[in-house]
Amino acid sequence: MNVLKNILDTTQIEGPFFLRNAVLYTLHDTCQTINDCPPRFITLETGRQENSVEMKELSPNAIHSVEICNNSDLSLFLLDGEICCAGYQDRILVTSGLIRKHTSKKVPVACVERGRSTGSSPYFHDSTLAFPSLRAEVASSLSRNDAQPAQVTINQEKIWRYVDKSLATLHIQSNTQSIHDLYEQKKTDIVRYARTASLKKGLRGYICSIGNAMLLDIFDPGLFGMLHQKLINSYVVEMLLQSSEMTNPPEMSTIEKWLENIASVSAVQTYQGVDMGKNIRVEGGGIIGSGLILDQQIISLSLYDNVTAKNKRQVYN
Amino acid sequence: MLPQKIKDRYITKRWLGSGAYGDVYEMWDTLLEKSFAVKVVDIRHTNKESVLREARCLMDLHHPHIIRFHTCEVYEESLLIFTELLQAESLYDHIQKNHNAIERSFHHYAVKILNAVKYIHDQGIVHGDLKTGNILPTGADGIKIIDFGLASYVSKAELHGGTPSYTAPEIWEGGACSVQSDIFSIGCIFYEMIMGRQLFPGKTVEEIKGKILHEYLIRLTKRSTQVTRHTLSTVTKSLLKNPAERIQSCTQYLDELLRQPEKQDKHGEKNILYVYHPKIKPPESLDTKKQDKEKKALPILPEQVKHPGKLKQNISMLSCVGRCLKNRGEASFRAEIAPRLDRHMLIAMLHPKGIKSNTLRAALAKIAMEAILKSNDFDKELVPILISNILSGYVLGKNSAYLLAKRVENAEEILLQLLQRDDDLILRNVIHGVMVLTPTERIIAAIRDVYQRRSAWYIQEACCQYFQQVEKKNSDPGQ
Repeated sequence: MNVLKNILDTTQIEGPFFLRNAVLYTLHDTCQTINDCPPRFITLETGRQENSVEMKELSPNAIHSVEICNNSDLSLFLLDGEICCAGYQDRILVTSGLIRKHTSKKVPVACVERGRSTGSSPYFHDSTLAFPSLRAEVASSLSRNDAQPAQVTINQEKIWRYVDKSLATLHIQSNTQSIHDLYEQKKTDIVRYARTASLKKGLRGYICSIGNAMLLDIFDPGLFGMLHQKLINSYVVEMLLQSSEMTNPPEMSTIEKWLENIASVSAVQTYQGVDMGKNIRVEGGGIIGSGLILDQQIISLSLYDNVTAKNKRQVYN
Repeated sequence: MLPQKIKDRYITKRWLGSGAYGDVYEMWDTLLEKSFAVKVVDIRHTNKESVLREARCLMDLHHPHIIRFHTCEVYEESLLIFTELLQAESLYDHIQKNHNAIERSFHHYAVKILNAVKYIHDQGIVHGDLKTGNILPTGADGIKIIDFGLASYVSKAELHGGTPSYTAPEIWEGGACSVQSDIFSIGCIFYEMIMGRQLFPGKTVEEIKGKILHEYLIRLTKRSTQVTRHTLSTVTKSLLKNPAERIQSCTQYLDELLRQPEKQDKHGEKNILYVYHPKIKPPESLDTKKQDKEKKALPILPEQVKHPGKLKQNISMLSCVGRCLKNRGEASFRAEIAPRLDRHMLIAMLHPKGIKSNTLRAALAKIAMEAILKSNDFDKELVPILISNILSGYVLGKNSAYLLAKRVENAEEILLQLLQRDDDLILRNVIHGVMVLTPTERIIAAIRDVYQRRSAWYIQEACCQYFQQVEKKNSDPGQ
């Protein structure tokens, strides 16, 4: 994966840092810092705070797509795994994307609230980021038609099953089987741990080991600051879910080897994005992930590697 | 986020768990070359005084059953409390995995827990968060009490709750932590050890609070050979809603537990424990003996069984006998019915065909064995059947073991074989039987082996009794 090789050449890895049962390595940009980087994009959260982004239902029957209007003067970045609440049911974005300024687009989504199909308003508000294993599950439940690669098909049942499983693991009571209730009921824990992770200058991503899983999240340096809090919150939920998995933290050499493995994964596919940029999809060797490239530069890349699943499949020696 | 290297001295190894105020990590001290369990507390968002209180309390406690405090450090905005590292699962985990083993060792653990908490109280400290998750059984040494995050000096005790399911009613009503609230938590722990489940389970704090505050007492029966009725009654006294009526101190708790009469510990006897229940009002008296007197009329045994001369091995008659045993209870059946049964019926009872219940089959075989051994015209032809039964795993009661040792010629060999087993209940009865025999080197060696091999308190006690008896015999050979 050439794009990852390029990005790693200009990135310094530091750590490890311990946050409960998660071990984090930070990825720092050696070329520029957050402060030097002018904002090129806005996110769903900042857009909604400024009232410049609107997200609404297309119709009561359109479960797998919503409409997003970007009325701001910057391009809107959408991260796969962002959960949008309200509407007729809570949804999760299934692909990352960039929407040009003052443009409306139909965006593919999946449902993460099995028990609700009506609502008082078609508009969405409030968003969180799904925890890494759910993001991986969403990525793996996605398939594209060869004839029309822009069209995505979603295995909705698979996502619902995973949501149910996660709610059960943490003993979450939800009347509508909504993943949002997990974030609400675990708010105290999320706040307690998330406040210990501060945003440092030049930070652009994390490599994180939680239980049996290893994951990588790397972003455009200007964008990372806006997503940092959501990302940490999502890690905290994953930490809570994987509390019973006690493994020894990986050494730096293991991390470097893992990155080399990822860089050599050849199963990378590219598709036209929602509006601007191209989506990449990585699947193979136990690794699943997705990202967004614009002008040969990575805007976002998220990879999830489940070591247990990999061992079961015996992909690596 | 905690970096790997702290103060150029400590290296963070891994996360161990979460406590009341912070997370606990394993850290390696490069200077002392030793691993410690370190609680990391964010002092920006926690009351520094309440965190330091934990360290101060721990500093004053030096007891083999209490986690050992090492030191305290401040790192950036975190307070690090260093304690000894224990590689053990909690009592909660043990109960979940093997409740029977915990129930068997109930007295062993109960005494250790009470001794440790007594020591804490003697130092003027209340723990405030006693629960099965905060007690670590540490192999042969016993237990360790951990997590003093909510501990405080009695004089400075504050209003705060521990884990909801173990929190005393007076704390829910706004009271401060006290010795009595710790006693209530111990009652909840003991209940969990005996029953294998929490006394006040619940999905939400409100649900648990409602149960603890508003539910009444009812009688709960437990068929247990491990825990006596007296023990259950003592545990009940520590769970009373009114702190003034509750057991007042660990010393009193220990006295009550230790003075229990061993004779009450009969197999299969129904033991009684009172627990809270929403709909039924509490009984007027907690005296279990009074309520036991109100027994139902005993069932009548079928006419054929009363005149057993004509009986052959008959499955339907065996079922009648089984029902009779079930309805009358073991003690009554053994005393009144068993002596009147004839040889054929006793042989049939040794291999009770047609009875589905394992417990009933075992009880019938046990009683038959005892009746055969007890009878005046002891039939020596039956000995091989008895021995094959015993060696193939049938329950050997205390009386049978005693009679076997007394009346069967090669009893020593049989009992020595049985002493090699790992079933604690049988072992206890066998040791009881062995006491009748003249002590030989082989028997003493076998009992010593059992003493080292088995940790159940009643086995240990039985072995000690045996050794005392041997010592007595040696010092006074004429006896």
